[in-house]
Amino acid sequence: MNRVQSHAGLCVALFVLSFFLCWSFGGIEAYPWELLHPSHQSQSYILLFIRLPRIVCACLVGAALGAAGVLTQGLFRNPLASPSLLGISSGGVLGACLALFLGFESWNNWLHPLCAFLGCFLSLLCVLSMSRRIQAYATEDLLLIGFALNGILSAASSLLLSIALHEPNKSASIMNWMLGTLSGKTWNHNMFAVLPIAIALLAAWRLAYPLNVLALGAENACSVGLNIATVRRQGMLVIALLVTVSVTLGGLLPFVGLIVPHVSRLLVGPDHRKLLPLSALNGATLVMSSDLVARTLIAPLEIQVGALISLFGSPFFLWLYFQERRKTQR
Amino acid sequence: MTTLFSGLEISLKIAGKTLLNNVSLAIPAAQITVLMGPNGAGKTLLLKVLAGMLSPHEGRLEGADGLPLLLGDEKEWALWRTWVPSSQTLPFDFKVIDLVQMGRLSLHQGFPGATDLKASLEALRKLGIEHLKDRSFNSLSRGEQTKVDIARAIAHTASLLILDEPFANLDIDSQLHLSKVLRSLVKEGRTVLLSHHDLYSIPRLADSVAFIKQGQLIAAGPKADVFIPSLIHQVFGVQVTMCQHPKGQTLLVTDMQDMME
Repeated sequence: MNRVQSHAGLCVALFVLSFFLCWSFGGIEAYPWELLHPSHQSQSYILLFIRLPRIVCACLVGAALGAAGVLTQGLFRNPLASPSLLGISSGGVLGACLALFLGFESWNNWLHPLCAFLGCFLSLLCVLSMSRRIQAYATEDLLLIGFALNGILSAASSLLLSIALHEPNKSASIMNWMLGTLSGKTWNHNMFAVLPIAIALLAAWRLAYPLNVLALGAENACSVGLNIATVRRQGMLVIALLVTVSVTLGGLLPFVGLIVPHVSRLLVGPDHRKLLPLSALNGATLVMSSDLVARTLIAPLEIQVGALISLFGSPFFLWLYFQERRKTQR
Repeated sequence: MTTLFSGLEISLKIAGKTLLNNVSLAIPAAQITVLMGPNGAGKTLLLKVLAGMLSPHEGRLEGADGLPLLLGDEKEWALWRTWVPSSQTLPFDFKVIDLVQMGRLSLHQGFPGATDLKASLEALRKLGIEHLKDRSFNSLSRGEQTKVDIARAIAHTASLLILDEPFANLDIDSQLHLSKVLRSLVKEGRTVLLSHHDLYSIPRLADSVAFIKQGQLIAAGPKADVFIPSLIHQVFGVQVTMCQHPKGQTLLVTDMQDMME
């Protein structure tokens, strides 16, 4: 077994272990093996209809963000890029916050995720229309467009929050969405998400080798026959779809798409054909485990999982960055 | 002498400034053509236009049959020519063998296969760097990185190789070795077009020479007709003398008198 295979095996083992830990622990005592001889119906209900859909939802969100992070870093040829740089995450969050602010949730449960979905796609349309002449735009231009859009949309969400501060219920809900949470996710949410994520992951897989070639630089990649404009457009659409679904499900979890691809690259190298599936797996493990900590650390209260990931993700990322720097200075 | 293709009346303006002015250049088939000129003369821009990487403001490319060179997308261009720009550090640290295989993107569908691996190893072997195949690209020296970039072009089957200053980072031994490799490719029927600064290596390297200065073609043709002291003086402003080595090679000697005064 070579180094890459052993690292991939370790990640799979970690995923399985995390899955069973997440299924076993929560605010109320209920263990998966009790399903074999159920003594209380409430325990089965907690395990199958509260805890399990939430874990599956964490996996879907993590996998989507992990893969979206790889695509973003590959597309922009920058290992420190993140999907939120395009402004799509912020668009989704603004849509969700707007729905909460206007009280759409009381009309229909699906209006809320639908608004998040619309927010993502409108911000995507904004990025796409601004970069319509994509061949004439350098990667730096796209990053700047995303950066500016991100700033505007985040500011708009903050503005909504500040207006809603006199209504504690609304402001708490908006805060939840802005900080990212998986609380209250059901099988219905997962059913909505699984197909688009599966389609997006398959499309991402088709882009894996072109992204390898794109790492050569625009000029080199073009010279060996890569249609850069097509790869960029397809990549952006796949990223948008993945981020849209993850934001719709879990709100803003900004650090996953940045740190997961970075760690996965250290484990299996830069080849996107290995990096994409491993990042999806590691993203799932990270969000699932973080959610376990978020719901058990100060149970019965919950911490917002997005805030928690940022809390330990930032120093971890800094540590990795300095490790890399030290390696290159040797 | 058969012409592989020609660039005709090529003009290029960037930000209102004319950088190539009415350049017409025929590239002979199965020869090494060296494009020379002072810094900022427009060599790289002309190579990019001839490689289809840059659309000229005016002018056109014609094939050997005198008809316009009609190549559609990037893939068609990649099947027609390989282009080696100046080397650059990569954001992700790929292995050398993976990078060389990427040069064959236009030849395979999807992912590279066994044929691509074999051709890539052969290209590395030709350049004498097969031992670097599992090394990461960013850990290599500039010279080694240049060789990997050239190997990526050689691994392809395209009949035309266009290289932008391929000798720039190479030591003398590597320069001589690369000259031999390029000569062997020409013997196989491939055409090489490259930009270069070193006047002294032209006698052993080039079949044809083209001089460019301030975006204008000064002269182009067989080495014996063009690579002469008067034209070199016109382009570079230096006095040179051609000498005959006892073993028969032509040598170039720069007259240092002006500098000594």
